[in-house]
This record gives sequence, C-alpha cells and structure tokens, in this order.
Amino acid sequence: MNTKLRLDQVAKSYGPVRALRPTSLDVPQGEFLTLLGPSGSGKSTLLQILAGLTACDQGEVWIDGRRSTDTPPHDRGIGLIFQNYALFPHLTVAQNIAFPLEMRKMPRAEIDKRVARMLEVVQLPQVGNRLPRELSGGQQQRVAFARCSVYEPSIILMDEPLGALDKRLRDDMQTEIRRLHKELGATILYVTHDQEEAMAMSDRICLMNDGGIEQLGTPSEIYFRPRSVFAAEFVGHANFVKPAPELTASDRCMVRPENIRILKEGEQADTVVEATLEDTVMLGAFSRHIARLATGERMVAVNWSDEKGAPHHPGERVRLGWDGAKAVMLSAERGR
Amino acid sequence: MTAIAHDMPAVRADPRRFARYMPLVPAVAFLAIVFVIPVAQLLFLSFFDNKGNPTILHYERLVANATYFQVVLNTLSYSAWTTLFCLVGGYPVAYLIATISARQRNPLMLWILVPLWTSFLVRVLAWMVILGAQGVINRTLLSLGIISQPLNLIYNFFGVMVGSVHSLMPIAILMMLSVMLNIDRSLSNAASTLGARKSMAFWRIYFPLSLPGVAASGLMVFVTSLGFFIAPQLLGSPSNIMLAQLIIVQLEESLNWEFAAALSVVLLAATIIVVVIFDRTLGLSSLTGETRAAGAGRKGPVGRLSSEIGQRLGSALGWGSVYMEILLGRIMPGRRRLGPERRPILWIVGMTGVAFLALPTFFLIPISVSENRFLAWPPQGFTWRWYEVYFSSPVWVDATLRSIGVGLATAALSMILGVPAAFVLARHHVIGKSVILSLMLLPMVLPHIIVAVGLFYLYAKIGLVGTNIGLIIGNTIFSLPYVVITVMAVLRNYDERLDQAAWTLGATRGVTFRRVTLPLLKAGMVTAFLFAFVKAMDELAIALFVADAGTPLLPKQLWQEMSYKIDPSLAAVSTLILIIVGLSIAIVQMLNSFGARRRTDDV
Repeated sequence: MNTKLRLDQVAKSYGPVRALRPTSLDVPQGEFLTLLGPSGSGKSTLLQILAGLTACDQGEVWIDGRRSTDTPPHDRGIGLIFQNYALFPHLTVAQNIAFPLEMRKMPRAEIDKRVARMLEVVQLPQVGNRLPRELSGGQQQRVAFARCSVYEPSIILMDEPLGALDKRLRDDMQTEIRRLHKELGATILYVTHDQEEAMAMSDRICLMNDGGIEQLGTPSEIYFRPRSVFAAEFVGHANFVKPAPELTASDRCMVRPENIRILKEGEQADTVVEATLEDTVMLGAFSRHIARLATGERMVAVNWSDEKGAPHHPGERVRLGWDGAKAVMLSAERGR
Repeated sequence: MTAIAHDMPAVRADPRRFARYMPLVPAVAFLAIVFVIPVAQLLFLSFFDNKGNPTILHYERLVANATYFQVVLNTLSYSAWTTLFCLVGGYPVAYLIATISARQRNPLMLWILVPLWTSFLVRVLAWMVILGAQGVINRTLLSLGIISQPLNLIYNFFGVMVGSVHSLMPIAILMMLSVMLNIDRSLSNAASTLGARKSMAFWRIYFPLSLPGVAASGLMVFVTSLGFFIAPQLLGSPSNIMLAQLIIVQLEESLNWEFAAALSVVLLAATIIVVVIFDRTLGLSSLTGETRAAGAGRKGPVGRLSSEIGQRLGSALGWGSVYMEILLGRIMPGRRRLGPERRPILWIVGMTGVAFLALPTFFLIPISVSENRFLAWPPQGFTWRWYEVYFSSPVWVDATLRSIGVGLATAALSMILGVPAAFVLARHHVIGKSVILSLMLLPMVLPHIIVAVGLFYLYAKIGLVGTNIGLIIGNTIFSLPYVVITVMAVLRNYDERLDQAAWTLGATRGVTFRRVTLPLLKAGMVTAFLFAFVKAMDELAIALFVADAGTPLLPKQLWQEMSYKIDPSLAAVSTLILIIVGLSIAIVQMLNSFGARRRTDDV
C-alpha cells in the first residue's frame, strides 16, 4: 500500500493547553479517512498542521514520501475545504474556482476550460457569474469543493464541511462527496463530530479524544470492537454491566442495545439478568426498551418491533439476555 | 412612492405604529430647529445684499476674483493631500491592529484613541513644540550637527499637513479597522492552501475586501478637512489660506455676513458634490459600517470599471510582490521554519504610525514645568510657575469651569435626545430610517463653521449669543451623532433575546429595562456620555461664534492665546486637559474590561 500522508510523533501546544499529544498516523493513497471526535479533541489542530496553517511544535509531516513539515501551505498542493467554505466574497463563482489555477500560472484559455468543466462536475453550470452570497448553502458547499479540486490536488482535507447544512441537504452532500471521491481518486481526510456521518462515509475512522488518537479502524471495527469506554460511548449507544466476579473491578463489559433481547418465557441466553422495565418507545422498525437492574444500573435494548408479540408495560419484570460473543470486554484505561 | 406602498401593505392606522416613532421626535425636532433651519437660512442669506434686496452679487464677486477661486482650489488640494496621507499612513496601522491577537490589540487601540479624544488645539500646540524653530526636531538635529540652520517645518504646507493628518488619521484608522475586523481570517488561509503566497493572498484577497473601509475613511477625511481652519491658521502661512479661514475673516474683520454666507454655500456645495460622487461610485452604505463586497449591489458603469481596474491592480501588485519575495529569498537564503509570522516590516511601519499619533502630546508635559519663557526645547529647570499663572487667572479658571459645565450639560442633553432615537433606529424597522439616520449624522460631516455661523445668525435674533443655553444647544448638534453612533453600535451587539427571556420570566418592560438592559449597556452608555463630553469640550467653531467676551470657553481661550502669544502656561493648560481626557479614557477602558471579564465568566 502506497502511503500518501504520514504524521510522525506530531504534537502541538497553545501555551499551557495541549492541543495535540505526540501523534502518528499513516494514510494510504486514495483512502477516505475521517477524524472523528468531540470538540477540543485535537482533530482540527491535526488538520491545520497537515495543511501547513499551523506549525507543529515537534514531529514531522511527510507528504508523498517527502518531508514537508516546513513547507508553506501554498507549496503543499493540498486542498482544504473550510467549515464556512471561505469563498472569496468579492470574486464571482468562476473567479473563485479560477483562483488556484491562476496561482499556478496556467494559461487563460486552459483556466476557462477547466473552470467550465468543474462547474459541470458539481452540477452548477449556470452560476459562474454569480457572487458566492447569491448561492444557497448547498451550492456554496459545492463551489468550495469545485475550487479545491479544480487543480487536482491528490489530498483533500475537509473541516466539518457539512456542519452548516440542514439534515436533508447533508445526506445529499454526503452521497455527492462520496461520488466525487471515487471520480477524482483523491485521498480525503474528513473532520467531523457527527458519528453517523463518519460511519456513512469513511473507509477508516480515526477516533480522537483529549488531543490524541483513541482508536483507528474501519467503521465496523470501531462500532463492534471498541477498545475503550470512550470509543464505545462516542460511537453508537453502549450498555455497561458489572463484570463477572473473576475479572478485576476496573474492567467493564459492553453490549450494544440491539444485541440485548427481552427473553420470552423459558428462552435462554449466554448471559441473563433480571430487570424492571421502565419505558418502551416504539420507533417504527425498532422499539427501545429501557430497564433498570436490581443493582440500579440502566440498560437499553433495541429490538425489532413486533406487532403480534405480547406488549410490554412499564413496571413489568423482564429477563434480559445476550450472547457472549456480542459482549466486548473493555479496560477502563484508554484503548491505546 | 407606489413602490413603497406596494412593499408596505401593512401600514394601517395602528396607534402603536406611531408610538414607535415617538422617541425619535425630540431629536429630529431639535435638529430641525437648531441645525436645518439655521443652515438653510444661511444659504438663503447669500442671495441678498446688506439692505435685504435679492442679488447674486456675492457669487459674481466670487467668480470675478481669481483669489477666491485660488482659495477654493487650495482647499480642495489641501483636503486631497490630507486624505492621501491619512490613508497611506493609516492603512498599515489598521492592518496591523486588525491582524494581531486581541491581547496585543487592546493596548494599541488605546494609543489610537488617546489622540482621538485629545483636544485638537492641544495637539496643534504639541506640534508647535516639536516643529518650531526652537522645537524638538530642530534642536535635536542642530545639537547632533546634522544641520547648521533650523529647518522650516512650521508655518508652511508641511506644518499644516502634519497637524491635519495627525488630527484625522485616528478616525481614518478606526473606520478602516471596522471593515478589516469583519474580514474572515479563513479567507487568507484559503488563499494560501489554494497556492497563493502570503503577499499574493494579501493583494488579491485581503486588500480588495478592505477597500470599502478605505473609501469610507477617505470620504470622511476629505469632507472633514474641507472645513478645517485650525491647523491652517495656527500651523500654516497667511499666504495660503483655506475657505473656512476666509469665512472667519469675512465675519470677524469685514463684517460682510452675506458674502460669508456665499462662501459657506461654496463650502457646502463642495462637500455635497464629494458625497454625491462617492455615493454614485461606491455607495454610502459603506459609511455606516455595513460591509459590502466590492463587486456588490447596484453598480453603474463607473463602479464596474473601478472594480475591474481594482482587480487588475491587485493582480499586478500580487505578482510584483511574489517575485520580490522570491528574489529576496535568493539573496537571503536559509531554511525558514514554518511558524507564526513575525512581519517585522509591518510592525515597524505600523508602530511608527502609532508613535506619530500617540507621542507628540507628551512633549507638552516637560514644557509645562520648564523655566524657559518660550516653547523651547529642551526644557530647562523646573517650576510650577505656569500652573500658578493658570490658576491665578480668573479668565482661565472661568473658561475651564464653564467648559466643563457646558460639556457635562451637552453630554446630558445629547444622551436625552440621542439614546431613545438610537434605540428606535437600532431595533425597529421604521419608514425613512436612512433619512433620519442621515440627518442625525450630517453634523459630523458638515463643516462645523457653517453650522456655527448659521447658529450665530439665529441666536443674534433671539438673544442667545453668549448664553450657556446657546452654547449647550450648539455643542449638542455635534455631540448627538457620536452618542447615536456609539449607542447603536452597542445595541447591535446586544442580544435582544435576553429582554425576551426576562419578559417570559415575568418581568415588566420597565423592570426588564432597569434590571437587564441597562446594566448590560452601562459601559456603552458611559462611553457615549464621555465621548459627547470630550467633543463638547473641544468644540471651537461654536465657542468662536456663539460665546462672547463674557462667556470665556477653554477652546476659545486656547485659540486666542495660541494665535497671539505662546508661552508655557498654554502647555500647563494642555497638560491639565490631557489629565481630564486620560481619566475619561481610563474610565471607559475599566468599564469595558470589566464587562469583558464578566462576559467570559459567564461562559
């Protein structure tokens, strides 16, 4: 596999605040990697260091096998899409898209040709002469994408690019970005704090917390095999249960809600606990059951809704069960 | 009119709609009576001879005499030069302040504000100390042996320019800064990730976006300097006079009121022409701080052409500086580490500008305790004599107390009229808002001398000349715009949902205003009050024409003494004024930083 981007023990502090602990990361050519984490987890700092907008205190950045730690942003050949798009308000859409080509001293005719083609690619052929603020949020987003991919950078960084859009537009744009990723074959680093977005789009997810990498893996690895309490809680919903007596007290056992069943009369499972049902919410295809164990712990089970099954009532005593293979043992320590 | 009617189908005879306008009435009525009518009367007067018969004689005289034409040309070229120097000198300062961290910004802002708040007469006196034949510069250069004869730095064009630029540059900087602070920083970052070097990003992106601010400052400086007479009179040569000086001569020496009125019309016409040209090419909206992209909105052929030229120019400057940068990199090779920019040249140029604005007045302090009889540098010995002269002079003490009293009363009246108006203008959609706002801000751009002369005619008829009431009313005309602007700016940053929250929590409107709105706006209100007070303390045109011998005022007293005899007692007075101003600024800064701290505590 061809390594496109390599971070080697890169770290950054702002005064006493540690924004990024020494972090290493390899990104292969053509991958769609998402940096996922809460705000302040260091994901934006990491992106800024990659783009050359922030200097790191230590460590090295390698791009295409070249040491690029001190390369200024304009020489890195990286495309960056900003959270607020950062379209130049005084330039038309076409002038915005032409800007990176002008910086590369491309002949005028070639620039015009490329701009026109790029507008076709993002499906906005009519808006070349408009100013950015005359466009809708989704259109601005696509112009930002066009401007940053028109010079065919082999790496594109995206800093929460869909954060400002409403839910439906966001879903459309996710598909759009996936399509463009395949079409252009670029390596994409995508920053978001939205776990569903990360799941939907990524080849791999780099989960970040507290200025460091918590876990790196495919979406299903992160979801089904979280390596820490944080990872389990940040991605999806997690139930934690007291470990079996032979385990140390600091270890915890995690089960996803969809893996917990309300057992019927006589039905058995690898692990069974008694609980009192507190509430049942019908969500359409699924129903969510909230139950409390005798120890006071709360558990959530999400099962297929069953029209014909016996209805459950709050206060009802139930038995919850799950298969041993579905339970994940976690150390309370960080997963790294 | 039909268009307006279409846009507003909701206009009904709803009494609440009219109640909404009530707070505007006092301010508008005030300005109509003491500002619009007197100025209109003055213009009217220019078409009559001294016996009251209609005539265009005065204008014929103006056109016939080449000297007057020369004065008009002088005034225009003087204003153009002042504008150029203010913009060229002010831009790097504004750019520096706009692009440093907030922690570094506040102290620099303070040094820009100090001269803005300091009496213009005091600043002119400081330049006399610095530029005079025995001044700081000449004495220093002589003692270093660089020159053998004192340089002529004063009583010529150079002196006038230094004084005027020093006077108007803070305003220019603040107006440019307000636009620059609204430029999204990520735009420059975007440009550099797209392949632009720093210098290219500046010329192609930042500079064009800052131009509306440059244009607005240019207009403000140009129009203000058209009516200037203090710097030309005190720092210039008698052979090279300005329109406003000519008006004063006609009034005070020739007693030719009608001709003075005709000259005022010329001055007013020049002002209006400049404003109209500006509006046609760039749009007046950039004046009120509403940033519009350079290529935006309605735009005639002139506007399109200028934005086209602007882009070509930006591109040329961008490439020029890129090649320069590459060349410099060849000459001075060495691996540069990526890191925070240091920008040494910008810091040197910017701080030179700040020093030019902030330092001169401080030379007055040692002079005020010098034993030397003249304003000569370096100060010799130490004496309190000049302060004794001041405190033992009934005229000075009377003038000071009256100025403070009139200033406080003016600030109070300006607040009473201006605050309710600002609330309505900032919070409600009122019909004719832009007209009303223009009326409120007009006194700021109109030459003060025109207003003062107009008031003098009015007061002469109703016996208000030389009265405190007359002075307070006159000063309020000029202080009102500052109150309105300041309060509107504060209200723009005020979250109205806080009021709504208080109402839903059971507070009445009155309680909400007292317990929520007012405490949060306190710092802004005090700033507005002090701004009005300081402006009134410094207002010379009103003092010259509305006060008389029985009602001495500080600016008038300073002006007279500076015109005839100059001694260190003036430096003593100036030092005292500096202390008053310094205290005012300290109060404002304390309130602001207190407010800021409270806000961060909330987070």
